[in-house]
Amino acid sequence: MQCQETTAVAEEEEKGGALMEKKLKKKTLLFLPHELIIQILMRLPVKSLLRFKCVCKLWFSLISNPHFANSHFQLSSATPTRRILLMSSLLPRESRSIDLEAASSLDDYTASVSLNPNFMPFQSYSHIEVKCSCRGFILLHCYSQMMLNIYLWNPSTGFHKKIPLSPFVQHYHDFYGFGYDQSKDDYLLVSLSYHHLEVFSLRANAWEEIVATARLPFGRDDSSAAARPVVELLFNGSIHWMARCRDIYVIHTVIVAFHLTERKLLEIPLPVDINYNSSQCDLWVFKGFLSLWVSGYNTTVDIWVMKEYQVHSSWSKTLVLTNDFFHYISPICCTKRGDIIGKGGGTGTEREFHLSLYTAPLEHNPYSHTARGLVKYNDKGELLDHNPYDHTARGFHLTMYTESLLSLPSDIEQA
Amino acid sequence: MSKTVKDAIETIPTDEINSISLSLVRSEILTKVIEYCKKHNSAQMSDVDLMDWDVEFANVHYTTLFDLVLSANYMNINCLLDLVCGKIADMIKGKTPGEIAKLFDIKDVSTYEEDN
Repeated sequence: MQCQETTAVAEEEEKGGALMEKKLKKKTLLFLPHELIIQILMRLPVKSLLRFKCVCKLWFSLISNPHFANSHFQLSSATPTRRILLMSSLLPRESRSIDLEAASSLDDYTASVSLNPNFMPFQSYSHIEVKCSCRGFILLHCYSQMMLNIYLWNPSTGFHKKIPLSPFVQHYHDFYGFGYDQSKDDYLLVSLSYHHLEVFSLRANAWEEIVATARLPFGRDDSSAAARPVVELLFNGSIHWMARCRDIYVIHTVIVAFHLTERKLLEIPLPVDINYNSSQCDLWVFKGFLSLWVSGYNTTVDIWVMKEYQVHSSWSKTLVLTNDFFHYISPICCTKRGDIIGKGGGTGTEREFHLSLYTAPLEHNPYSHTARGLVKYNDKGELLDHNPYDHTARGFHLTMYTESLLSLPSDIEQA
Repeated sequence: MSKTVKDAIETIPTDEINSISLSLVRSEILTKVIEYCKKHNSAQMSDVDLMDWDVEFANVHYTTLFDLVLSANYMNINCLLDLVCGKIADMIKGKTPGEIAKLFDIKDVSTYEEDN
């Protein structure tokens, strides 16, 4: 196609005259080679790329190419644009995606995109929990009449896949995680329950029991907001959980890490003894370090940072956040500017509690997971902004994620 | 990096310079490229100031940007390529597919409707 047009332009060049300059300029544009078009496309946001698929057949094939999706993700994860996905747990279901970098304030609705309900084939589930995310995919637990259905969903592309439940354990799992094994280019779901450690591989499309190297059992504490894995940054290739360990008579809290490539469990001790009766705590990633937040009865939240991974003596308390607006706050992530975004929660409504008993297993604690709004602090711990998104007091779940064009290694694609 | 750029400029024979850019503004493009390289090789500006300067440098018309991207690619100047590709991406990200086709002079606009 390009050759024909070159000839056509060359013919017109012979005519000369005033058209010459315009034609030569056109010639320049035509000569933009594929590798340069790709370089430009690689720097576009996912939303634009999806829209530009229909520019022409060439662009469609360039953008649809899985290698392109990979390269695009690699480039964008150097300076990731973090988004928050909010989804109301109960029906009628609303969901929204907020661009944290674009939002000047938490009220900034120009940075917030309502996810089209038709985009989401999850309207039939009475109760949905947004769990965590990895490489643009969100892990969802969807309940209908006490039955758990697990989905992986890429909200940017609409791709979704249902994950079969583990054949080994019938009950709901205490810990679950979702991550990426770089060595095999595989996505893994990890389930850690009282005596079992299982891994689901997207490539193998099968669950596998793992013989645990660290001691089990680990249990989670329902009264805390814990028992959720660290989102996004699978720290050093491992999924991390907060867990409680029983050591004959003594119960202590510990971080459990599962390395996705080595398939091994290990324990990481906490900086301080945390009294679960009076404190809430959980893990997150702060400025590239594994971090722990702890809140007590008072309105402050302590932020601890592990300066050297797995080195207990490197824990140091770096920041204290004050919370005046919500019942509790928990940090989620940082923006590029270094501001801390947190979720603000309150106690669930009574209606919500009863509904969730009806639709979710008894172990599920409705209070600990639903959020009421977001908060923003600067890196000194000063409150910048807060926004109660949930005016109906129904509560929503949220997770931080980044957009990607990636698809899962599976045979059948549903979109 | 600076040595590569310097070598590239020194080793390009005079008649090859004519074939880098096909438009009538080729001498201007080479001047801009040299200006960029000189600025980035000098240790005078702070990182922040240099970034501001880059933004100003890339604030030009599409045709100039396309010429710059071709030149940066041919002359193997990665930081300039990165800057200009980023600028083009920034300028086109909000456009409609139709506007993109027009800009890149694409003839076979597909009527493919993207599934969403």
